[in-house]
Amino acid sequence: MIKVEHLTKEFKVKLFKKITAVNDTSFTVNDGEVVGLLGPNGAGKTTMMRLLATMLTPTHGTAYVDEYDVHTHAREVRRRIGILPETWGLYERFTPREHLRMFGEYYDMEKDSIENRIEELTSTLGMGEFVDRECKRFSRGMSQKVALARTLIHSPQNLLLDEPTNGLDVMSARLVRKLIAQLREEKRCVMISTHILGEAERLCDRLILIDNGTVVAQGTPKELCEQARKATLEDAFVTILGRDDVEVVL
Amino acid sequence: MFNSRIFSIVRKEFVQLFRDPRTLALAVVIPIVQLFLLGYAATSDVRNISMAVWDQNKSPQSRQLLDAFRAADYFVIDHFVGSTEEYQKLIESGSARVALVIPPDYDRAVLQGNAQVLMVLDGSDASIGSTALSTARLVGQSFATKILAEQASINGRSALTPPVEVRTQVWYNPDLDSAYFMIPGVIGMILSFITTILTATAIVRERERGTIEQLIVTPIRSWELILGKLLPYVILAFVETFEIIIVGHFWFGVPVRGSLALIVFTSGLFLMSSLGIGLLASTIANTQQEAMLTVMMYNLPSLFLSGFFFPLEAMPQALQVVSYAIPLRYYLVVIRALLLKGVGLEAIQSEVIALAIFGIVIMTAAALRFRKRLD
Repeated sequence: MIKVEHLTKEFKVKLFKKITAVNDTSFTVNDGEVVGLLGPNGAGKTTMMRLLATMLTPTHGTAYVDEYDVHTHAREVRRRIGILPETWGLYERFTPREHLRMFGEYYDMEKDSIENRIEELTSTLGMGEFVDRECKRFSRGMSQKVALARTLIHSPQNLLLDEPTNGLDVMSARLVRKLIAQLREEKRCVMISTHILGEAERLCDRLILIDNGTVVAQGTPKELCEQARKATLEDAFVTILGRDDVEVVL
Repeated sequence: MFNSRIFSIVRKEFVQLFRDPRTLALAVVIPIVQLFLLGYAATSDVRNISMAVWDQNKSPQSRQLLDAFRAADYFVIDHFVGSTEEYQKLIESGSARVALVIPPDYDRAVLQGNAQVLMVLDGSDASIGSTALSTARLVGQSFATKILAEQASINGRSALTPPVEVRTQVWYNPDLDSAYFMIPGVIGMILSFITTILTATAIVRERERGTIEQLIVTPIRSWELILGKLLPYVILAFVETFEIIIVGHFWFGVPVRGSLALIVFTSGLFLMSSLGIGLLASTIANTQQEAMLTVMMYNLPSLFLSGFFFPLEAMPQALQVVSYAIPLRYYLVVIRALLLKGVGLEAIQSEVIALAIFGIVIMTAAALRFRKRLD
């Protein structure tokens, strides 16, 4: 479970100038729930993900992952979380198998469990053809699959997925959506950051709309449409944000 | 202390290093290239000074004088000329560095005991000029003494001996071969340059390529990450040290008189400073270029103010004071003393203490600055 309480993150941009990327934000994502973090570019989605993944230190407020404070108990949080970042961060001279083995070791997994998990993920994500090839010339889709497998290697209870179907072809995207549904069935806590409304609507139980670092609305897609008195999620999104200059991908 | 996470990071670093031919070449080949460059090219030994001769006498006596210059092993008689203009042109063009002018009545003057020859020197290169000057004077004095002894012998008198004779003994490097001085210095330079550059760029590269984010979100502790990232470069640095010692010993004949254990121990202390500087640079720089420039800002002054090229005693007082803040200064004293003089710990203890203090302070400062966070 992820619980965010009055979380604020400020960045110093010049000597006396600060920008607030996340501003006094609170929400909860329960186990067995898939929640979409929606917002236009620059809304603070990636900063939120990074705060929850302990990559950044909160300026004020805090967040809890399975009741562990992201600031004071970062190591416990890291054991319980898996993040798929926007940039894959792959070592181009390593094969997917080497990546997965290495990260399994970082998470203190037993050798046999690592090997079994690699076989499982290779099969689930359809990586059999390239699991022993260096990542150097991988396509976007292949890289995305490796990054996703690495996120899942230690079977984390909580998952933060930034644009999980980004760059994937139709079949692979479908595979990932199926995987997310499976994670929900396994009662895992899944948070997806996306700006693709169609995907959010299809995948998520609940949506959190974020703009200028603040939560502006949250609820099921149906609740958001009712709240904005609009028939489609796209119209509801634009109405709630109160402007029509945002990028919307259906 | 050494757990599987650290082992995994160390293995990852080695795999990356061995699969990246450019970095591997930088790490393994560059030390040898620098060793040969500095062992041969950056020599302060002035030999084979090109000499022009205007022998206006062409007598057995003048030929004896030329033989004396040849035998000194510092001069090579490349040009025989017939006028002032000719040797002037040769010196102007750099074809000759010195010119020896033997007057027409030289043989007669030698018999009368008042012969004079002229030595013209190109002073534009001070090191060659001063060596040529002192060598020419010595050759002249020695040759004059020899003639006096011969004349005394012809006249049936006992040979004259000078009232004072300075007998010299050169310890540790009898031939005053500058490679003996340079090669231990190369070890210090490599340990400083390659280690700081590789350490700083290895960490910054992770940030540039976004791989650091994934390392941050694993349960690896900060110190484990630091240790895992630095250990491969410690091993590599020792490989390079022995590479230089072996090539230096077998190719250049540089002796290894001190204890190898002491060399490893003191090199380890010095490495702490270099690794710390690399780590510190990685906390400041955002890109690999920035990291390189940051470590160069440390390495270049280190090189010039450590006594690597120029003796510290010859520097202005203010720069000598600054040099106390440079770890390489102490390491060069240590490694030269260990290799060339074969001293024990007691002879270099103050330098060893200084290296330990620098190592601990720099490494602690770097480790405290290094955070497993993006902000």
